[in-house]
Amino acid sequence: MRNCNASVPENVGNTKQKLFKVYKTGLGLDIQPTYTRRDFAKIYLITGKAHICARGKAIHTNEPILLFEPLAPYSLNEVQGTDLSFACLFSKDLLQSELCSNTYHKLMASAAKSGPIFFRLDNKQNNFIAGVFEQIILEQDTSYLFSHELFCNYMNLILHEVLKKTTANITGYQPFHLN
Amino acid sequence: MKDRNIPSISEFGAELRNQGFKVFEIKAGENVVRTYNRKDFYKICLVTGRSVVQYADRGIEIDAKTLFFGNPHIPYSWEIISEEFTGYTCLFSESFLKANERSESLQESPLFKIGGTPIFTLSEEQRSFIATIFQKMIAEDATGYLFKHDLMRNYISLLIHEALKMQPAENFFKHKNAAERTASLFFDLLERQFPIESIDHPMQFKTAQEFANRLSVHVNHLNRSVKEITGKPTSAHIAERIITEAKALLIHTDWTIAEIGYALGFEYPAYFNNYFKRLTGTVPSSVRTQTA
Repeated sequence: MRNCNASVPENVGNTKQKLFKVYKTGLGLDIQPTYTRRDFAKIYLITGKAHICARGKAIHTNEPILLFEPLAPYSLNEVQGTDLSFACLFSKDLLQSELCSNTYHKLMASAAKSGPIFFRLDNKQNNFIAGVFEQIILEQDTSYLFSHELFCNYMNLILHEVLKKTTANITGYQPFHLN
Repeated sequence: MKDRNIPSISEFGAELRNQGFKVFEIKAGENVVRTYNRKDFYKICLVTGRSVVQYADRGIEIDAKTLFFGNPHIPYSWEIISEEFTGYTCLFSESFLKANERSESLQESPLFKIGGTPIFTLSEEQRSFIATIFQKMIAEDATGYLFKHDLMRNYISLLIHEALKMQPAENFFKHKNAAERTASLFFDLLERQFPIESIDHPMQFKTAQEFANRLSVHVNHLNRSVKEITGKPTSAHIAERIITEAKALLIHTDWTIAEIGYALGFEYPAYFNNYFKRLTGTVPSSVRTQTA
């Protein structure tokens, strides 16, 4: 499964011109090529079976999760065997821009810890978030002048979708960590 | 028969005032004219059906699917011709939207532009996409989610972005006259003074006379132009903008109230206090403690 998604590295290269990039894979996702981009925060939507390791620790999951990898110098090694995934990179500048930062910090505050953070999703959330990612993919190659602001709006929709569950204190849907 | 299932005006207005926000569906056969006549709120409507819109000094007949943006500065009215008239409406106050971070696209958007054309003709594909946004807003509005208002502002931004990506329907007669030009210069100059970023750079122009001097026109001409185009006096626009900025500064900075007053061109804190109280009914410190 390693490096099975060969198109990832070149997609990632595009983020040099852009502030964000979303890509989709139906095969399984190897996060390795992306993890050197420390200037980008990452979000992964992982559906189905996955095996995630970082610093020698591992998580096995069988349900949809949303994984946040913040800017901190911290990297995941791989995610294997997923059915359908989205990965989203977005730059530090974007993250620190007022448009995005507000909701992002609210969500990160609910996790209260640095490093990669996992959020379990129910099916409805999973479908909604996948739909938003699809929409971003449609938008990201257009020449629309305010595409980065539009991206922030879409990003916020995803963040709010997760935040709804964490603020409501539903058991089983609280964020968790690797370590 | 027309009054069935419609909240009374006061009930409706109360909800708007408390939340600063309202989204609802227009169903066929309901009397929607009343809602279109509210001029103290921004609105975004998605409609299907024939009608005539009188917007500023222009009249435009719309047929089929249309997205419309209304703001409190420009007078307009709406006559419905066809029986089948359905869609969605979203209303919000200026402070509801401005509580959000300032973004360039919003300033450029049809909502804030003077002399623009905020009427967009949609394809079926665009209509259904925008309709899903409205449906999500209605669904979210029914929840008790803690950051619901942030989420709503996001959805409003999405609607604005959709509109910005389209070309306005320029199929009507438009006359750009001196009054409109003067008014739009005034709004440019007013907006250019914001946001206030530091106490060292207080607001420069505060009175209609100061604006007129700066624009090299006589103050009477400025007042007449602004009143003609927007229906409101120059001073009312300036006051509204100062209050919006004052609220933003109270909420988002840790400057003292005296400093905020000074930044907004008030020499003494008491002047600022009185001014704020006169226009909003509360004192500045209460805005700050409410959100702290």
